[in-house]
Parts: sequence; structure tokens; C-alpha cells
Amino acid sequence: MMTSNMMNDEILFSQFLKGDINAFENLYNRYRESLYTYLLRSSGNHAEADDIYQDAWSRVINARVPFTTGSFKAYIFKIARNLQIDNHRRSHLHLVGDNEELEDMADSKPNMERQIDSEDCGERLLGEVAVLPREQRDAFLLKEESGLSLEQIATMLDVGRETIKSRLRYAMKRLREVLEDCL
Amino acid sequence: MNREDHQDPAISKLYQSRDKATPSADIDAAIMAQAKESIAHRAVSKQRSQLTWLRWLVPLSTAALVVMGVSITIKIMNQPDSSYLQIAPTAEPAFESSYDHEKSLKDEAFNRPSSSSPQPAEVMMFEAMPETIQEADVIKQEQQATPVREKKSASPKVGAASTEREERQRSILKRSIPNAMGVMKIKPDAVNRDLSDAMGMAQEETAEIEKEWINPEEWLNHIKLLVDKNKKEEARIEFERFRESYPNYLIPEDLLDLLG
Repeated sequence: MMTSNMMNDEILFSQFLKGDINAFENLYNRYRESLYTYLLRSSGNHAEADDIYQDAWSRVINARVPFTTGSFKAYIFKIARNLQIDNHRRSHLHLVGDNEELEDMADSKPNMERQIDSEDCGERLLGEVAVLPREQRDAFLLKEESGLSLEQIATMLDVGRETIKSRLRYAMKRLREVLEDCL
Repeated sequence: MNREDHQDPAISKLYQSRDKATPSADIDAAIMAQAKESIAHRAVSKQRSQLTWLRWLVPLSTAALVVMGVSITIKIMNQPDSSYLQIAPTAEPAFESSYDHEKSLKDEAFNRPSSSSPQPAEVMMFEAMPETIQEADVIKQEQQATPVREKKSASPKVGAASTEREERQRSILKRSIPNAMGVMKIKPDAVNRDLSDAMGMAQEETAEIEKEWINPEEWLNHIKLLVDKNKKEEARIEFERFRESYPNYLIPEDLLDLLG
């Protein structure tokens, strides 16, 4: 259950703060893939995702007191997102419309006749997600990768619940239009 | 637009079917190493803070004790009348055999040594107390001014009378509990006077004598009483002794008139 899972996360984190390395390892394995996938698909850049991923866990490791936000999951995803925003502000990169990255992604796939299969649709989906407006992409990836509720995502992004719903609605609409033949 | 358009199970299913990205093994190792280092560092910091605290425990405790001891000593030394602390113990305990005690006091009452040998100081707390030179001088002066009745002879009353005497002694001591200044003023002769009951004095007189030692006002009242009883000579002697003890005490005018 989600609730018991969140409670376990808090207990594990508290135990880690008391010196239990195994508790940290459990916690790390629990969010290793989802956090990294979120960062990679949000930035589209392995190097950037690696750096932010390590920084995010470093912040968690060096915390002196238990987190005060709702859950550990929201806590670590918020850290990761804030680091990403800071990184983009420093480097003046735009997540949306990075032509160089889009070309890389296009080049990675052979120029074949379009076939309706799950892998191709999956790739197309990831491609479409990568070019969504940043706010819509954030909302979509947080929803899919972290499993947080709309309320938790809204709290993390400091917006209202309806705002998150609206962003998701536009994202889904665009994805449905592009992947109509896959769905 | 449908209200539920913000979610699409098909799209979610398609998205979730994609393989997850994973960090490299190097990154995993680096993060785990950092976590272990953090735990070790916290343990060392905690130990260090505990050791630091323990290291200072003994010196701080010692310093606190020294400061407390010095403060208390200074406070005691600055008391208005700390002479009672300096009174030397006498050779005799408070409640030795009643006969011996009475005998020694009688001897002193009759023999009245004139020089430096100090009169036995009254025990204040049922234990022997030291006697100062000042106290010896005061005793000597009082002895010289003491009325004759102190030298009355009487056969000692042992047995039941000695028990009574002991109780009177206790009552003297109890009534001589420190006043507001915290000072006990029991003249050594109080014992003699009290025991003079064994020499045949009335209990009333003894009680009157005991009272004068408690506070100056009562002493003056006693002197007035003597005047009222037409014992002017005694009253004058008592007044002289009062003056010696309380030279700066303001004497009521009516008493001065009575004494002439």
C-alpha cells in the first residue's frame, strides 16, 4: 500500500540518520530507477542527469534532521527538480526546443517506414514527451515516474491542484493526437 | 474537454512499458560510499562532543566546588557576630553526671578565679564550644559585678532535683535560640545562675535572671521591676551591667528617672 510504503520510507530515513547504512541502501534502491529516469527524460542529457542525480542523493545523505514535507518520495523528487531548475538557470539552457538534442534523438532511429508496434510507439511517446512544454513535461513525468498524487505534485510545484490537472490535460491531448495510431 | 482528460490509461501503459533508465554502477558506488562516510563522520562527531564534555567535567566540578566553598566561607566570616564560631570547647561535656557538673560549677561560683583562667562557657548545642579571650573578659567583668546571691551556698540536690536542673538548663538553651541576628548570647554565668536554684534560690528569681539574657528590652523591664520592688541597689547594679553590654542602647527616660 502507498501509505505503508511512505511510512516505511520515513522509518528507513530516520534509521539512516541514526547510522544504519542498510536502511539507506533500501531507500536508495527503492527510488534509484524512477528518480534517474525522471531526470534523464526531463533533461534529455545523460551528463546533466548524472550530476543532478548525485547531487540530489548527496543532499539527502547530508541532511541532519528528518524531512518535514509529506513523504520521502516527494522530498527527493522536489530536491531533484529544484537542482534541475538551478542548473538550467546557470547554464541558460532551454529544455524545450533544443534543436541539437532533437536531432540527436532523430538520428538515433533508422529512417524506416513507420510501423505500428509498441517499441516504436514507445519511442515516439518518449520523443513527444521530450518536446512537451516544460511545465507539461514536468507534470507528466512526475505523475508517471514518482507516482505522487495530484495534490502532492501541486504542493511540490507550488501550484494548485487544478493547475496540475490542466497541465496534464494539455499534455495528454497532445500525446493522444500524435500517438493516435498507437492507442 | 472531459474532466478526466488529465489521465489516459493507454498512454500511461505505453509509457510504463518502456525500460527504465538506471544510473551507472560508478554512480551507485559513489553514492553508497558517501552515505557510509556520512554515518562514520556523524559517529565520530558525536563521540568527540561526548569526550569534550567529559574532559571538562572534572575541572568544572572542582572549580564549582572551590567557588562554592570560598563563597560560603566569606559569607560566614562576614556575619555580624561570628564570635560564637570561635568559642573554644570546654573540657566538660554538656550533660555529664549531674553531681560532677554541679560540683564544678559550685566550685567556680565560690572560688571565683580572678585572673585569666576562663570561666567555663555554657554549651549551646549540648556540645562543648570553644571560648574566646573576649568572652573570658566579659565573663570576668560580669563576675565582678555579679550580685552576691550567686555565691549563696546550698546543698546540692541530687536525684530528682538534678533532673529538674537539667531540664532548666535545656529550657535556657532553648530560650536562647538565636535572635534575628542569628546570634546566641548565653553568658556562662547563666549556668551558674540556673544552678543557684540548687543553692536555695526561688524559681521566680532564677527565671527573672534567666530572662535578662534574652534581649535588652526584657533586661530593662527586669530592671524596672527591681525598682518597683524597691530593690534600687540591685536595679542600679543591673543597669550598670546593662550599660556595659549595650552601651549605645537608648534608655527610656522614665527608667532613668526611676534610677535617679
